[in-house]
Amino acid sequence: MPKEEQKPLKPTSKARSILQEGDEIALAVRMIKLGARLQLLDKETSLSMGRLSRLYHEVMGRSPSKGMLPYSIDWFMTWHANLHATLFYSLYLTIRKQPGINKDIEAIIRAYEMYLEHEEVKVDEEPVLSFMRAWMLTRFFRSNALQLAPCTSCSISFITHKHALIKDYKCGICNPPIRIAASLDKEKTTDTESDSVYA
Amino acid sequence: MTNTINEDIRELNLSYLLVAQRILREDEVAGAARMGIDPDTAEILKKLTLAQVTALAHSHSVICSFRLNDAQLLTSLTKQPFRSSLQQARATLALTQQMIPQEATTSA
Repeated sequence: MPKEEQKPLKPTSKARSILQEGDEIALAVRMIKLGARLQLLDKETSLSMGRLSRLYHEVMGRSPSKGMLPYSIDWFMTWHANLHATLFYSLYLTIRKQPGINKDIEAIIRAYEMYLEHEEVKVDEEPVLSFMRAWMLTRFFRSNALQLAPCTSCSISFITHKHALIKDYKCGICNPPIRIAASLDKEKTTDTESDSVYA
Repeated sequence: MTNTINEDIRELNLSYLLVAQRILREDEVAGAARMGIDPDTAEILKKLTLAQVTALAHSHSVICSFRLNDAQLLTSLTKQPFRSSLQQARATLALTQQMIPQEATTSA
């Protein structure tokens, strides 16, 4: 595997205003807390890698993990991932258009925070969709590798490969893999079958 | 003494508008997304006075609309009793996607 080439150094902080740098640090802190790794922080801010590393250490109490990002597009097609990724991406598309949102990364952050609020996400120890994967997902869409396709059964759209045949598409919930089907069942409760408010 | 239907509707309208204002004032971005209303409308709604809200609520018609107003969608969301967290996720999907323009789904 060829080593990563030396990147050109970023402009020094003297070229930017202190206020701008403050804003960028605040943005970086928000992203670090959500799970951003150095590659993302590097792309989304103009802070130097050294500074980002130090900031990461201050926020998380440990050094950032190194190494290449292992994320592939196929991961987003597995049942669980597809549901979570679609949930995040739908929120992202809605938020992106709003007047209060002037940077794409802001939409990603807000959408990811809203994604985290859902019970389906809170149920697991770690969210199925990490912040890094969410960010990569938006990049995959931008590079035209993915699209949203409506399920012919429930009409809700889900993430699919860009040129996948969608004529008879069924989502993972309407057409679940066998190993998943059992776990979709309603939780057993002790309530009576039909509760009427006016009983 | 129980309410008449008209009184129920007025209460519903008032509750809806008051909660809507609270949602929008607390977080305008997430709020407008969760309510499914345009930013311009959200801006106006947020700033209505209590008097204006009460006047709006004072109607014999229900002021808010049912967002799952699609037979296929409503059937698919209700016919199979999935676990509640999954239902919540599907409802979010259905409702947020209503606000996404068609072109956005096939291109970045």
